[in-house]
Amino acid sequence: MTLQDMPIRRKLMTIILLISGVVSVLTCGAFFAYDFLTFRESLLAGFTLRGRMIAANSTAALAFENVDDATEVLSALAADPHVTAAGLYDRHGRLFARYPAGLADAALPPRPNGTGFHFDRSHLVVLTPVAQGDQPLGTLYLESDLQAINERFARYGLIVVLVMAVSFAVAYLLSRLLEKQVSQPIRALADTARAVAARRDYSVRAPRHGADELGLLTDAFNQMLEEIQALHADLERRVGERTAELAEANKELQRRRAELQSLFESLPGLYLILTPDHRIVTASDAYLQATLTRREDIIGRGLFEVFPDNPGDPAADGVRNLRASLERVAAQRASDTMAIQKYDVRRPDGTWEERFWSPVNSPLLDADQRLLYLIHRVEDVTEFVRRKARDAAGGENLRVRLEQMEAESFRNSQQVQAANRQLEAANAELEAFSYSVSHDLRAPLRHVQGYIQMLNREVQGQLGDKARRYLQTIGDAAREMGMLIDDLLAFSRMGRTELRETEVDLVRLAGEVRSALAESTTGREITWRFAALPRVRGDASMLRQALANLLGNAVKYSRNCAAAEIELGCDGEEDGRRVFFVRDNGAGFDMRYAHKLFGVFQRLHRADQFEGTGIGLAIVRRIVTRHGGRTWAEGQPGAGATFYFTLTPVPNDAP
Amino acid sequence: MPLLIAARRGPWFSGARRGRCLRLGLLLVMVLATGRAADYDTSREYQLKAVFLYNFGRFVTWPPAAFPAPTSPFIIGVLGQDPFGAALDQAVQGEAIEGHPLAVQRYRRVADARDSHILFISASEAGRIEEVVAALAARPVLTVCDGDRPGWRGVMIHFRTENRRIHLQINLAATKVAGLTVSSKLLRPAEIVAAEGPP
Repeated sequence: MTLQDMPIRRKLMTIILLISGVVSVLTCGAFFAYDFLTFRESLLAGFTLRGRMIAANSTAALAFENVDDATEVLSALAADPHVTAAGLYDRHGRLFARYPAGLADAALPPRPNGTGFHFDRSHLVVLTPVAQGDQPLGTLYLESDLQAINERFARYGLIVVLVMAVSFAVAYLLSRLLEKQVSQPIRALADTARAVAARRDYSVRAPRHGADELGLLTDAFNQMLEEIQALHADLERRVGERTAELAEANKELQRRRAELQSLFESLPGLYLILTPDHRIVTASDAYLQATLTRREDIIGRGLFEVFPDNPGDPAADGVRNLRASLERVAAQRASDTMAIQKYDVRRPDGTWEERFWSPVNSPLLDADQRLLYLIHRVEDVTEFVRRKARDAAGGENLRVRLEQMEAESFRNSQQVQAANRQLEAANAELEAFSYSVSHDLRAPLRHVQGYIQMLNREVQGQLGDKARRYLQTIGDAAREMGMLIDDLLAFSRMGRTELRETEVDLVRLAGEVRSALAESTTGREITWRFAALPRVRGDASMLRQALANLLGNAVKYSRNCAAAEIELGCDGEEDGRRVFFVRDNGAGFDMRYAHKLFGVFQRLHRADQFEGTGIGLAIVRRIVTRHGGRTWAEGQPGAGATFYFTLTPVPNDAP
Repeated sequence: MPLLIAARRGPWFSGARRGRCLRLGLLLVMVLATGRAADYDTSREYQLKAVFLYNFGRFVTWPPAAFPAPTSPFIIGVLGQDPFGAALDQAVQGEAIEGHPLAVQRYRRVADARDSHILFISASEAGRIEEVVAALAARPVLTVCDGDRPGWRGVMIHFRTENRRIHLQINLAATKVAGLTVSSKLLRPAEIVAAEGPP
């Protein structure tokens, strides 16, 4: 393990022991070397001194050639056990006396070789001149073994080893005691950090050991933990609150949903809700009862899978008719009332029961006119059909008659539907036909009106009140019929006439329309607001007609307002077309009937409240549709209405 | 060599060493029979003694008054018949002691020897030894003689030859009277004798 990866405790110990070890080795080495040199020096000095003394004592022995005396002088060396050999040479270099007494000649050099000293491997040799005054008398040869040095070194080595061992042990113990001061707080910090990371437990705290940097670090760490803990707790509290709120809201929703569900299911009518692809979403209890089904068996399944035609009835076309009606509803976003249908239901035992129904299919749209659901409402008219048949039979031979009637009625309805299909096929033809009929109707109607006027003048003052009122009613009806014919003509014309597209300034057209309306708005306070509008591509006369109908409606339905406000504006874009609107603060309407607004002869107000033919908005829709746009309306009873239409703007034409 | 025999008489006939005496006597007869060998021995002995005389100058300190001048000679004198021959002259040739050149003087009369520093009194003066010693009394002259004879006690250093080796006897009291300081080193190999009483 490298020092870098060691735990901090071992790192500190290693560093301390390494330093103390190096220091003690260096110190001991230095002492050792110093002592070695000093001891050698002192050994040499002592030995040299000893030699000098012996030399001084042996001068007389040499001068007077007294071997005994010389031997005796040398024998004093016995006090030093390290002296291995000694020899006294006279001034001619001849060996004169020796020590120890029986020493072999070979142990001593034959002649003294100069003076001074030298160390060899195992001995120290000192050669000292012997002289009395200035007269040289000879040379003293002294030889000592180095056992003293070796012994001392051995002793010294032992001491060094002991000192190092003891100091290492002491350093180890001390470092064990002292490293805790540093490592313990760090380890405590590390343990705490590990605990926090592993358990996400922000409540633990690192223990504080002192006021040094580690203490500061510990404090900072603990403070950080405290903040995290507080944040964490706050976060958890808020999550808890939010969860509780959501759960509460969810419960409320569930409750309301269940409420609505049960409300719907307990409706007295026979309702079936379908997705746009004809899957059953839900059904009212009454519907289930009437069709002999159970809710759990039909929810989520396809309508025609659940209710197929009776296979025993080759003429059955309930499925085909219902599918066609539903498709019409989806395409036109409008309700479709079907003729009475024979549509048998299957009993749970698999047999079939004959039933007659009167269905109405309606779309359920969202704010953007997208189809959400199809509402299929039926009435079980089986009893009614049978009673009629029974009545027609006149009571006698009732059963046969009834069956005949049923067959006839069914045949009739079959014929009606065939005629319907023929009618659809001849629709375009009829359009042209109705135009010419309407046109042709105008001439006799004008005759009627003209003769009524002439009759009025002719019989002036001769008629009673009753007769005059009859005449008045005939005149009103004729005028109303004239208006109806005019509107039908206009409506028909809008479908047939060719578009002559130019660049149209809607504001200018609106100005013209306002001028035309001036007569009918005399005495009323109306604030007109025409915004700056982009020029559009379209047929000017058709668009004038559309604007006339919309602004005319606005004037008409704001009639009961003290201060009417009518606004023509532009608001956003849709599919590359600009969205325009006409807004008034008049009578408004109920949004539930918004889909009916643009139908022919569809009126939301009674004729005695607001006069009209019920064709104006149908004309507007036809004009806008022919220009590729679409129309819709928003309103609220008593708070005004806004009619939107989209048209293609002239490219690069700023509003 | 009657001198040597006389010198060793006492101890030799003490009884314990009779056998050894006989062998020595035999040796002496052989030595005396060959005169040349005896001559060689004698000259060898006096060569040593000449060196010894010279060496005394190193181990004995004279009072400053003994030298008239710093370079005045250091005189080694021989009183009476000279036994050294040329040996003494050879020993001191060219030598000096503490700046004083060595010189050898031979005296017939003791009165002439009063200025010498070391004086060897030959055996020929045996008849008047007491007179000689008296004449030199209180003079800083180191007197040296052969052997150990009655009446010669006043001489300061005696050469005593034993076993063909020369031993020294020093009359320390006499040297003190003469104002001479004898180095303790010299006393190591020497035998100190009393001034009076039997030898």
